Amino acid sequence: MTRWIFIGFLFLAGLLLVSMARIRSSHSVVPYFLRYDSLALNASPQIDIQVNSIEKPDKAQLEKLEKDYIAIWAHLNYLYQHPNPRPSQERFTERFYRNLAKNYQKGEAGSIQRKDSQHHLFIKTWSRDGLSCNLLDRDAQLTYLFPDGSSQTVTATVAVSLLFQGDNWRLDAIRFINETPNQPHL
Amino acid sequence: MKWYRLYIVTAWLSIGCSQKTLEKPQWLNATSSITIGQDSLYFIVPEANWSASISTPVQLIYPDLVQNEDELVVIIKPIGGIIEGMAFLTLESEENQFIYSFQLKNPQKVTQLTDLRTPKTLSTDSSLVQQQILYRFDDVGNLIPLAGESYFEEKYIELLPETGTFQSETGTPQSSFYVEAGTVVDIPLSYSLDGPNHQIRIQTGPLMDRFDNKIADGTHILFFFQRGDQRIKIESVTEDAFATLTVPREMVANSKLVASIAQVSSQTLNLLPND
Repeated sequence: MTRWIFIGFLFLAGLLLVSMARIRSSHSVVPYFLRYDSLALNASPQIDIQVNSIEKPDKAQLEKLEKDYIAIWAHLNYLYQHPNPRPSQERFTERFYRNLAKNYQKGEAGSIQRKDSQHHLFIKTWSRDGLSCNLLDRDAQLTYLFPDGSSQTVTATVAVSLLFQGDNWRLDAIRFINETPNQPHL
Repeated sequence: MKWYRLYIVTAWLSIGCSQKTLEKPQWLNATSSITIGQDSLYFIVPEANWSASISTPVQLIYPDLVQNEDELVVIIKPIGGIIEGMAFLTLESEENQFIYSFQLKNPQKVTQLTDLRTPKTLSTDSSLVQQQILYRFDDVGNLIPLAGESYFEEKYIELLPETGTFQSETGTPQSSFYVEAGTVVDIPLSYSLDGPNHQIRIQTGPLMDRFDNKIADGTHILFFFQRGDQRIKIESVTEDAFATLTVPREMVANSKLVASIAQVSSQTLNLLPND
C-alpha cells in the first residue's frame, strides 16, 4: 500500500513539473540578444549611403542604419508574400504595425515574390539625438518574381521615415514615389 | 478484384493529371488606378472556383469575390487602408494563375503632421536653438508631401528664454518640449525670529535666473553656519523660487551664514549679532 502511495506521489509531482514547464514555455519571451532574425541575416542587397542632412551621423550610426535598413526590407519583402505581420513586429513602429495587424487575414501565401538588390540612400534629415532619420531611397532595384517563372525589375524611388526605438531602427512611414520597369514585362 | 483496383488507380491518375488550362479572365473595367472601398473589378471568367489575392506594396491582402455564372466581381474591402503604390491582383483557379497590375490608392485620408524637436529640454543657460523636423503622413503610414515634392523639412528655431512646457505645431502632448530656468544669479538672504518657539526662520529668495525666470523647484541649496571654529552645513531644496529653513536659536546664534547653489553664493549674513 505504501508503495502505491509513493508511486502516486511521484506521478503527481511529475505532472506538476510538466504543467509548470508548459506554462513557462508558453509565456516566455525570448530576450532581444537571443532572437535570431533569419530573414534579416539572409538578405544582402547592395547599399550606399549619402548624407545630405545638416546633422551628420557618425560611422557607427551609419553602419547600424545600413544593417537595420536591410532588415526592414527583408521583412517588407516577406510581408509582400505572407500577410501575417507578427514576425516583423520589431521592424515597425507601433502605429505602422497596428495598421498591418488590422489588415491581417489568415490565408495562403501569395504567388508573387519581391526581392531587393540595390538601394541608394540619401539621408535628408538626421535628428540631433540620433533617434529620427528621414531618407530618400533613389534608384532602388526591386525584382518581382511571378508564378509563371517570369520576372520584372523596377527602379523605384521610395521616401522613408525611420525612428530608432528599442534596439533598432523601425519603419514609421513610407511612400513609394514611383516604380519604373527597367524592361516591359512580357 | 485486381482488375477492379487497377481500373480505379488508372481513373484517379487520369483525373489528377488532366489539369484544366483556363483562358485568362477578361478585365471588363480595366484601369490603371484603383481606390480601395470605392472601385470594384469586373471580370468575365470561365466557369471554375476562383480565389484572389492582392500584393500591395507592403502587405498581401485578400479581396472579397462575388461570382455570378461567368461574371466575377473583385471587391477590395474598406480595410484599415494600405500603403499606396503598384499592386498585383492574382486570380487563381486550381493551377491557373493570372496577374493584373494597377496603382492602388486609399480613399481620402486624414493626414497628420509630425513635428520632432531636438533637444526636448532646453535650459536658458545653454543654447536655445532647437532642431525641428517635419513630415506628414496619413493614418496608414503613407508619407504625404509637405510642399511641392518635398517630403521632409528641417528648421532651426531660436526659442524665447521663457520657462515652461510648450507644444509644437502639431499640438499633441507627445510633441511637448520644455524650457528650464538656468543658474540663479543672486541669492538674497534674510532671517526672522520665531519668538515663542525660540527658533530662527531663514529665507532665501526670490531665486531667479538671468532672464528673470524662477529657478526650478527642487534645486539643491546649502546653508553654511560658521561660529568660531564650528561649521554646520544644512541642505535644503527650493520651492517656487524660495527656500526656507527653521533652526533652533541657540544652535546658530552669533553665526555667520552663507547660502550656496552650485557655484553661486550669497553674501554673508550675521545672525543675531547682539546676543
